[in-house]
Amino acid sequence: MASDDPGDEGGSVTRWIGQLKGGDPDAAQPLWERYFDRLVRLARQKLVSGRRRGGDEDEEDAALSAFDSFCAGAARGRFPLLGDREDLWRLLVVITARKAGAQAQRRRAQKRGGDLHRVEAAAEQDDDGLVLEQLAGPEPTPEFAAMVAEEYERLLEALGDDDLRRVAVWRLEGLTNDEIADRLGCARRTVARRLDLIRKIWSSDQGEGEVEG
Amino acid sequence: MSEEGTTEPIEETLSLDRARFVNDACERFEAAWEAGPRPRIEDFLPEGDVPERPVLLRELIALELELRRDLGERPEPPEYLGRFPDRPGVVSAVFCGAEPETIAGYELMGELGRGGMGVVYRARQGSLNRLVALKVMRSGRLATEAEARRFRIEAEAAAGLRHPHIVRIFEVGCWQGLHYFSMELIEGGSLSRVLPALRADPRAAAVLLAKVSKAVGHAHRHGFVHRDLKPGNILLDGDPGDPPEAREPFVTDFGLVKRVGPDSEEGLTNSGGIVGTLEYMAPEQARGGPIDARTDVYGLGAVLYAMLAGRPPFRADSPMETLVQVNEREPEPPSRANPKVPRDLERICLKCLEKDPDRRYPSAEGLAEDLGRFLRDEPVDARRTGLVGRLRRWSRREPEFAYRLVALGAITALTQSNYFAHRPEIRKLDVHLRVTGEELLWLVAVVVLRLASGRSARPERIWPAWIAVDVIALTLVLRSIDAASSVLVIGYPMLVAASGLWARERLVWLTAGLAAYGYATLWAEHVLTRGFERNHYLNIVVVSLMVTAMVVSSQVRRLWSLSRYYEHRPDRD
Repeated sequence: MASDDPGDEGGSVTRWIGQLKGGDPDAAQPLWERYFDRLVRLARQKLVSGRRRGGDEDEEDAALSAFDSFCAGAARGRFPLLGDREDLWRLLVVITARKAGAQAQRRRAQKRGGDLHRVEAAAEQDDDGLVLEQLAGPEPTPEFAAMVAEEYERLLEALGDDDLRRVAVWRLEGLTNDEIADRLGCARRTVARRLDLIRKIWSSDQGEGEVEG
Repeated sequence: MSEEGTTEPIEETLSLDRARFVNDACERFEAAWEAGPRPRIEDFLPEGDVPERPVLLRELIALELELRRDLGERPEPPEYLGRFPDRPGVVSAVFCGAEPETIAGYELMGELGRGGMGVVYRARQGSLNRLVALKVMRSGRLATEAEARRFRIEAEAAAGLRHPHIVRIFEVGCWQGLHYFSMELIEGGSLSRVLPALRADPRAAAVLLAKVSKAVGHAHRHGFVHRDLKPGNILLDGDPGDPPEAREPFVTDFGLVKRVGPDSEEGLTNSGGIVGTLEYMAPEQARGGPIDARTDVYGLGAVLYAMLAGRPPFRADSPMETLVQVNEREPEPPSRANPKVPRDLERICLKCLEKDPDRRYPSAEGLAEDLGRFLRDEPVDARRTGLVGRLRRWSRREPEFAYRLVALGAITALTQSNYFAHRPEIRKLDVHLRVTGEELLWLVAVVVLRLASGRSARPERIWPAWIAVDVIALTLVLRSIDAASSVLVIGYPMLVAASGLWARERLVWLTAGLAAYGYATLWAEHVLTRGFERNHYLNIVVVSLMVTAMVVSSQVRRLWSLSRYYEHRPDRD
């Protein structure tokens, strides 16, 4: 129902954050959805063009699956909730935004002669809203989308376990815990536990990524 | 989408390796369960008192409970308390935390939403086989017996409200210590989801709001004041793809926010909406003043505003600043954000949003009738406001400009009258003309700044310029009339005090610094040209400026610490 013409209210991240702070995540949701939709479509293009350089076709299909399902889900109005801090998509975007920010700061710091404290300050920043606001930009840029696609692959790789990877991909596709449990034939508690572990792995991986650069 | 049934995160303090270990142990346990003879939890626990032990125990018990329940067994806490006597806390936490599948005969079919008060589920009422929305209050929300009783009385009373545009409450009850009530299930989402679409269609907004106002009026006649009207509390039926005017609105949460609010002792106020929906709150409510039907008229106006402008009437970066705006500022006319808004509809909206309840519509019906007149293209009651009213609104909309204009007008008039009060032989025309010229220049600078902030998306970036203009102009005037040693020097600390109204410490110190610099320049010039003189003390002026700035900035700091406290209270969502 979000019209194609966003109007002058635009998809400004600042505005979502304001609305989020104002206690009205519902109102910010449509803007977040528009941003997200564009971001994921851009990221998918990057993933596809990156793959042409060869590689395993099956793997390609699996990796694109989450993006394709997301696009299909988006058409049916299934989006991650902006207010849902537990959401994997949200986590993916925040991790990427932090990384982009840390890289930008490091570049600036190197120009000034290596003031690394600032990089760490950025890493410690834990207000997701602020990170999104400062780093993701008001519109998803192709560069940022490419980073999201890269991070997506790297983070899936970092899980190091096919069971966890399946849960992550299905969850990103928008399946509920119950649906995933049915598909895997395992307990719902197990799905929830694996998701917690995935979040933990991703959150700590992000720390390492920043230290090593 | 919103996810149901996540566990509490595996404890933050657990390292990644230990969390992986916990997960692996659970995976092995589940595999063993599938494979054959039931494994024993006891065999999977590590030896000794390692940090992952309680976490693993919790996970294994929860897993086993689910697996056993799936087989139709009904395990009870005593069995587990017997098996793990050293960890009664873990056992009871698992039994309490397990997501119930039915509550009081309602079969839960997924979560619709979560708020400060509780969780709303989509549910099937077994006995009648009908779908309902089931709101389950958070445990601890109704802490005392008296509060719980009051909540029930209030909810039962609200259940008596019957109106085609009010969400009906079917049943109120308590089940295993959980308070709940079931309501009509409206599945089209809330009004806030269609705000972007409504901006293009002000008439549809008027149609929707007229229906909502009649429903609210109906509730008022039965003694209910909603007090938390906002787009999120107005549900729409039909499909999100339908045009908004074809969908019927339903007001929800009537009477439920009310008593669980301010008059209870502690903690409940925030779920009562003080923090969450400040942007839609009437000023008298935000101040904790008396509430009546006209408070809801304001809320209806705020909802209309949001439909027309695409945002609530007041929104700032922090709750404190929003509160200040709600109390003191005039909302920007919606037609500035959205040129499609008809004048009459805008007048109706702004009449609802008057600060003084006496100036609003006396009742929600009054508002509904006026909306009806608008829709029939008849002249509306909300008339063009008179000159005084418009001046009042203008001064609230741009106080920086309005108060400076008034002050400068007064200063200029004073200059003129002083001049003519003197006997003609001691009048100094050249000085008088220079001073008047400087005052007029000051006026021009203020007008330029006003135009610049009107264009700017972030007017606060221009605040330092307002300060610079004021300090420079004051310094020039003092110099022209050679008043650097006169009582007029109090203009400087006044500017410092006034800068505190912006609630930015930086700006307070900027003002004090500029003022000290300005006065020092005057002093230096005086000393250089005429030497030291009595009654001309740089040190006293500078120290008093610094003391004023210190006092004002510590007040500002206090305000912010209060504001941050409210913003980050853990109870908020």
